[in-house]
Amino acid sequence: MSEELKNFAREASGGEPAAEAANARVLARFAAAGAAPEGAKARVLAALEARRKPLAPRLVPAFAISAAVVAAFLLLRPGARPEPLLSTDWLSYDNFPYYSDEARQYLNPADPEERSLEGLIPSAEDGF
Amino acid sequence: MEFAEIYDKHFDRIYAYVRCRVASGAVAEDICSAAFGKAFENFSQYDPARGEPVQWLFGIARNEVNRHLRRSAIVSFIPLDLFGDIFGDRAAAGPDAGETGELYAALEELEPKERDLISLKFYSGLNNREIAGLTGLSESNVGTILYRCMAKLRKKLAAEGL
Repeated sequence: MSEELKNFAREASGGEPAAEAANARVLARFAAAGAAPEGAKARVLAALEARRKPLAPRLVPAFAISAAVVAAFLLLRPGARPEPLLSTDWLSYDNFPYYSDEARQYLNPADPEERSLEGLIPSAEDGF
Repeated sequence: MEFAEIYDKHFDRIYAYVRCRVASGAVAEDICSAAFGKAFENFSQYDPARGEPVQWLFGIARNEVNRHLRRSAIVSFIPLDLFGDIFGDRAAAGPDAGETGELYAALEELEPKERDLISLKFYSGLNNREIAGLTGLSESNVGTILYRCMAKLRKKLAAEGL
């Protein structure tokens, strides 16, 4: 028992020799119980070693799959590639709003049946 | 001083302190692992001028134990004491049966703060002033609490035939 604990046993006894002896017995018992169980030191050391590894090998596939999923999403998401300002179909009426009605009719000729008052498309005959 | 040397020299004392404060040996090992892990990571910041390595290590271990106890208090919604009849007396069961179990049972009757201080006193080798510095209490307060704890432990263990 250390000198510090011997002093403590004496001070905590309140000057009674019997209490001092009892304190010493309590301290001795705690000192005896203080040893770590066999293997605990090695187990803790092994756990420390495991913590020191920067990346556990079993996590590598998970990281690789996650990275692949993220990369695929970034490359294939809508709008990932900038659309050209002018469509390659230069006749597309979307590119020429001024001529849009005419172009729409040129590219998507309306059914003659739709050229009626019901279809709200002016008739070619009377202009209504 | 190398970290391995510090680990070899102080492991038993740190383990004993942690074991006195938590319910099982396995939990004590986990906490020791976390504490030594933190100590290793921050070993470059350790300044010998500010104190002995043992004081520094006990400070880290104490923080880890307190963190564990706070987490346990949040997680444990149902006290296992309710199932005392099913699980039996925790102090008398498992590898801590016998004298060691009696000691831990006696410690369980102390308040958490008392348990902390008495464990530090028994195993850290620090004096009351150093313990006061570690815990943020005054030196006289530490002395008073330790005196009271010792009387309780003496009484409890005397009743069990020590």
